[in-house]
Amino acid sequence: MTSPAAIRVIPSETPQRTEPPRADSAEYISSWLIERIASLLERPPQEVDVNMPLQRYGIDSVEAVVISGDLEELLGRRLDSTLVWDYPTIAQLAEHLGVAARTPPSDVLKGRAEARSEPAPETAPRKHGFEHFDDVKNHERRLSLLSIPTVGNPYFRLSEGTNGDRAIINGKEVLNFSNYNYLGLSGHPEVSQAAKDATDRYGTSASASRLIAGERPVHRDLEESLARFMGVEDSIVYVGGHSTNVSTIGHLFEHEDLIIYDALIHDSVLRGAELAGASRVPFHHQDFDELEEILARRRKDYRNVLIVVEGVYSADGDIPDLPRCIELKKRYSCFLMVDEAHSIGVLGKSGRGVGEHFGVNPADVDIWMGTLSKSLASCGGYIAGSKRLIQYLRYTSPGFVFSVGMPPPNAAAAVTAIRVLEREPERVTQLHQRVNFFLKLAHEHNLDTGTSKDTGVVPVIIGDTLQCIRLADILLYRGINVAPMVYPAVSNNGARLRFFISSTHTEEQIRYTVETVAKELGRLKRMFSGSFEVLESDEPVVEPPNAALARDGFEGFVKMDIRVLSRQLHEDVVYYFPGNSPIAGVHRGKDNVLDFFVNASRCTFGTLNVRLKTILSDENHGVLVWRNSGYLPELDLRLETEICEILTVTNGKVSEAHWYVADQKAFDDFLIAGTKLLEKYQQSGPTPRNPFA
Amino acid sequence: MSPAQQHEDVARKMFESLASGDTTPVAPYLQEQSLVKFRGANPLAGDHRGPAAIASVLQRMLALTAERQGKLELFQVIANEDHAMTRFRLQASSGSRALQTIGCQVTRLSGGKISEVWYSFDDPYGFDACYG
Repeated sequence: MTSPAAIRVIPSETPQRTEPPRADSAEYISSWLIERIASLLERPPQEVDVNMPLQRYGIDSVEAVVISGDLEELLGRRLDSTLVWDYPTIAQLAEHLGVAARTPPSDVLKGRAEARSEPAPETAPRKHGFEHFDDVKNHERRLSLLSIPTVGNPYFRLSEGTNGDRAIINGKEVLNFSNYNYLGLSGHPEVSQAAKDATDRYGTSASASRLIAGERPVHRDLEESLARFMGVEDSIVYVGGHSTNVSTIGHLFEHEDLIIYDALIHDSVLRGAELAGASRVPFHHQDFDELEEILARRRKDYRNVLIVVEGVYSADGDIPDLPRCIELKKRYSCFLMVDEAHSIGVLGKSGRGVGEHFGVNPADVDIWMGTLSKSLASCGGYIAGSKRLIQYLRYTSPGFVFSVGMPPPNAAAAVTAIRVLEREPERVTQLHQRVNFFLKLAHEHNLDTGTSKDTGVVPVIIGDTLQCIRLADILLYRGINVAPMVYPAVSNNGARLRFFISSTHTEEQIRYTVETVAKELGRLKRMFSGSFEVLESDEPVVEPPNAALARDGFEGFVKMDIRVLSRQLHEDVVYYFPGNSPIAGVHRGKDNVLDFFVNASRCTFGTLNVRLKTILSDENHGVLVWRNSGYLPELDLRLETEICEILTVTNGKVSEAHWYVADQKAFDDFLIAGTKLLEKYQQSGPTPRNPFA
Repeated sequence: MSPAQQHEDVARKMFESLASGDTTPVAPYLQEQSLVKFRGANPLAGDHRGPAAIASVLQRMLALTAERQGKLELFQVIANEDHAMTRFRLQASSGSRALQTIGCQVTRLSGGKISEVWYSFDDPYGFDACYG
């Protein structure tokens, strides 16, 4: 915890005033935040430093979202979910919110109306066009990092043929672990024939909303089959899995309600909750004690409360404690929704999902949601539950009523997939065997599969983003197609290869895959470190603000987290980078500096291993001292040098930076060689290359 | 005095020794394993370990600076419990070549003693050209 000398509470601007501060003033918000953080830390408010980044108090992303939600309640208006990250200290956050509050809504509307009728030159944007959006520019920077040879762009790979246990990429057949065709039913002759027959009979589109004129027998057949399969009264199908959640949650719940969800819940649930306007509170992944604590504290404040969990979490391949969820939802009179996208067809003896896995009464879950695109070999999503719920959705759910009905061939494919599954439950048994075989081998080879168990998703956790992307590229070269999952889909140091196992994978295929992953990962870690070490402590790190800023920027630079870097830089930042490499010189302005970061990473091929030695700071500076190691295997070129970077900080942002490199010549030689290599690769075309080939 | 303040003091003394070529101010903080590193293509480049080698390289620095009518001026010191960073301006000239650069002295300390010091300049090739 901070030393007494570091304790500073934001002073009142008008100490003589006797009136209480306005509820939306910076002063009031600051006081509220101090109390809130103190309560969270179980410390006296006097120990909270308003200039200390909240992250340094050990407040993680989940707690940050909770604080954002509470602030929304306090201020009675919607706030950006990234607010706590964009304004990392209490002082900055309070000042920002106080300023925003000083602009009355009526003035905003008036200003907008005036802008529409007669754009005032001084308020018109200086630059127009998507190319000027920060998010667009930063996205392009991230994409350019993926064009580094030996890293390779793993996205939008063209693949021929059915997406099954094998795929044809660049004309070459490879083993395929990048799809969720868990039971091999997409491509099954009977399923394909059903889709063809439905096309012949009904055409390729429903050509209308089902409510109006799009209803076909195959739709009803599918919904009855799903309800029967799930053991519930009725179901409704939507054309998209994502839109199923958005539309259902957004439609059923309102601003008087509370939605509590696992922190790793799918994006579609978050979007639905946002649309609903309900208060939103995440609990740590699989932490049902925390869920209970939230319910005990907050249930009474809301009309309806919805708990949302997934049957299988698609990043980790783990399963929630559904009986505990049901017990809590009953005790606290809540609704329970289970997203079975990755569990239907996978869990339970006959593939009926997480309910069958735990042997619970299906009626104990209020909303069963699932997708038809995975085990069920089609497209779209469903909601299953009581007749009353489904009837209400059928007549009122915007994503259903105002959308075309599911294409009949898709509906027919899903119905047939269910029939095959009911007839051949051994497909599920075989999937379980294959998963257990993969896990057993992976553990024998000391691969980190996290908490995956009994599901079709097995992650192999690599940690470092560039290493993970690079390994995926190398594996493709070795005939294995597996997708990397990197930040922001997973945490910054949680990059992983995500293996989707299918019942049709053979033991031989799995053995080759695991052995190859272990072998190539070992080589990769030896040759391409591309990672870094920071000074870490088990205790929450409490640092002066500029040291914290320097640390965050360092992590952002090493991990090429453009968003963090962008947030830290002053618009007119000046970056002095010494030497005679192609990236040396004075870089002026945020955009140029961000481009410099990307170019630095590109021409080192992401091979730098960075070990942070220390962080120093004073009132206007943050100073980083680190050691750089690098290796370009193509040239057998190594780099070892210390670097000192001095950041000048103005109003919480970096306004100037100077680099001092102990062995400048070695550093320049490395950068120049990397740049030449990059140019050579670019001339030889974009085909990914295995550096070990 | 806190460790950071002590280290700031040691860093100032180290700079004083660099500027004067006299290791007396910093002598109490040097040990046999203390290492001073210069890199580049200049007569100072290399690893200089122990009080005698350090005294020698600092004297060499003084001699080279004097030959070039050089001037060193400290303007920033920041320290914590294990490191100190010192920046200084260096002006010198060699023939028609004038050098104006900012130098950085990074000092690593352990148990109140100097473990390692390394130097770098924002115009490293200019430094090599002038001092080389």
